[in-house]
Amino acid sequence: MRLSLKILGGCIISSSFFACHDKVKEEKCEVINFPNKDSELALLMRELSEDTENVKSQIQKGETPVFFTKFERLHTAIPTDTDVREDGKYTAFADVFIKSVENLLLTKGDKVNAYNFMVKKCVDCHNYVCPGPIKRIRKLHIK
Amino acid sequence: MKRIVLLSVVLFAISCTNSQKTEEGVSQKYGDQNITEEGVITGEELMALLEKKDSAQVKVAGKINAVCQKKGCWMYIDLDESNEMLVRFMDYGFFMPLDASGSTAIVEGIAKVDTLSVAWLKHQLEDANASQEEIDAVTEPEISYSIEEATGVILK
Repeated sequence: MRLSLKILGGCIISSSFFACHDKVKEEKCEVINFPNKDSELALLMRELSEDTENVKSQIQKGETPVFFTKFERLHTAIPTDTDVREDGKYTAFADVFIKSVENLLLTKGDKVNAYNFMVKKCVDCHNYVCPGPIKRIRKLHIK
Repeated sequence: MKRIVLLSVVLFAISCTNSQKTEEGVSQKYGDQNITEEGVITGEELMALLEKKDSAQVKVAGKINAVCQKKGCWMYIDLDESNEMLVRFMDYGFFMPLDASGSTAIVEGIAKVDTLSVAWLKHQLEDANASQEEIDAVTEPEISYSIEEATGVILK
């Protein structure tokens, strides 16, 4: 009888374990925001976006803006659409954007204007190349 | 004694059965980590809601019928047999798996009836790897249900 009780107890504990284990699985819900393989240019854009958020904050605080993005990579990073540089327009937009960054960093005048001009150059390029993130880019504008 | 052993085997079997069920129920969240299925409505309910007002904050469930094949940055879900809804994601901050078509999505955000511009429709066709002929054929904007900035998605 004692042995039977031990077996019963053991099985109940095993059952409970599996039941609990099961509950953990039921509640499991993974959060994945970028499930697909990103191109080099897409990753560079994400990095540039974070960088620009920081620069926006620096300008609003009256601090000197500092970028960490290697802008020359705009010309070399492999894009999602492999033919994006074929007609030369992306390259032209990228050059204008890089000049707007240089102007922002060098100007002795109004940094807010120079910054907003740079953001506008992002929008101009995305209007032509990839309109998806335009709403997000417009939020970088300083009012 | 035999009864006790039999009872134990039955209990064990029930546990294993439960385990199989929940393994199938594992879902994935995108965007807002706190999104739940509570208060989810159907596509038909959403369309009825948008007959009464211009926009509505909703959680709506629907089967995915198309996903951007470049990055997963937009998708269409079925609202009923003849209506669909464009879904894009808040701040370009999360995307769908390229192979998500056929899965059920629960999408949270502000739904409305929107005008999709010619530029957007052409871009969308490019993302879907459509032919140049199909892209050039787009000349008019389209009226469509949409969630422009979904805050979270549960994919099942």
